[in-house]
Formats: sequence, structure tokens, C-alpha cells
Amino acid sequence: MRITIDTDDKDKVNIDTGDKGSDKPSLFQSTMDIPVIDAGPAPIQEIERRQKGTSAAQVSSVSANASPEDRETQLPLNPLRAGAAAAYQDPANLRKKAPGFEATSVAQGPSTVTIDGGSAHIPKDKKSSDARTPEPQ
Amino acid sequence: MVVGTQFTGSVPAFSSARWFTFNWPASWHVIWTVVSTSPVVGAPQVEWDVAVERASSANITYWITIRNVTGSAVNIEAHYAIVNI
Repeated sequence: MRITIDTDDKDKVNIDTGDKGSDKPSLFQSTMDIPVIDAGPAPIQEIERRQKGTSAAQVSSVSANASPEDRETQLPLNPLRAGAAAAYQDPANLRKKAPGFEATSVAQGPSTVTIDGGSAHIPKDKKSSDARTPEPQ
Repeated sequence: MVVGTQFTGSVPAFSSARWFTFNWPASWHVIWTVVSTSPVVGAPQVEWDVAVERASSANITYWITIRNVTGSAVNIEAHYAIVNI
């Protein structure tokens, strides 16, 4: 603990014992104060059981010995990824402000602005499912 | 990819809680996300970070610290996504 004693020009003595925590590294202090909770082990058996239900064709469709580039070319074409790649090839799409930027920006501090990132793109046939059980995607 | 919920809980107002979960195979590429299940409109509610402990050559322990940045308790779910299986 660091104790600081100051005397001002009116001979008034100020003693700072550091009780406010100002002499402690904030990261250390916060780590020590945070309660720790056991969240259990990885659900390995359940995931493996689920994985056994996955078709072998899905699992082995990409060669493990292929180079990263080869594996990339063997992956099924993801329309979202393809769309993103196409979008990024157009310089006009880079660093583009979201629509309504001026209207939705909120001053939160000297360097933080809030930007509307748009809504989630949910496929029409996507049904909500219980996420508590691991599901192969 | 396999996704699921590892744990649920509650974080009091303007405070943090840390969960650990262990025996995750080191060969799994695991991404952790946290969502609030307490709807409140207009401002963010939770932040989180993940720390990693290599408990053994084969297993990893993840430490997930969740911060409630609001003035009310927030219920949370912590989700994992194993992206390489």
C-alpha cells in the first residue's frame, strides 16, 4: 500500500492511504474482486454423439492433407461468402457508411460513435431452435 | 460447426462475473459469445472477454468474464461455436 501525505500552503495536511484503490493496478483489482463460477466441462460426449449422426460425406468432403488454398477451393460455395467477396472487390463498397448514419449516430465519448449495422439476414426457412443442445450446422 | 449453450447466469448491475469451463479439446477451435436474455432497448448491456488456460497438452480451460454495463441485473447465456468439427 502507498500512503501519500501532502501539506498545502495553509498547513492543512491531507493523507491518502490508497483506500480508494488508486494505488492498485486496476486489472489486478478487478480480477481479484470478480466472483468465479464453475461452468462445467466441455460437453464432449454429447458433441461426439451428435457428430456420429453427421453423414460421412459431410465430414470427409474436404481432404485433410490439402493445402489451405486447395481446401478453400474444395469447400462448397457459400452464397453469403461469395456475396461478401464480390462486395469487397468493389472499392465503392469499402468504408461505406451505413444508411442513416447521421441520424443514428450517438455521441458516447470522444472516440465512440454508434452506427446502425443493419438487421440480421435470416433465411425464410430458418426455424428457431433450442440452442441448449449442440446441433451440427 | 457445432454450437450450443454452455452456461446461463445473472450478472448484477455494474459488475462482472467470471465463469470457467474446462476439458475442451485443444484441437477444437472454439468461439465464445454472450447474449443477454433480459430485453432492454436502447443501449448495450453486456461485454465479455475470454481468457485461455492451457491446462494440459490436450485440454484447454476457458475463462469467460462478463461485464454488465447497465444499472440493472442482466441474465445471460454463454454460447460456444466449435468451428472446425
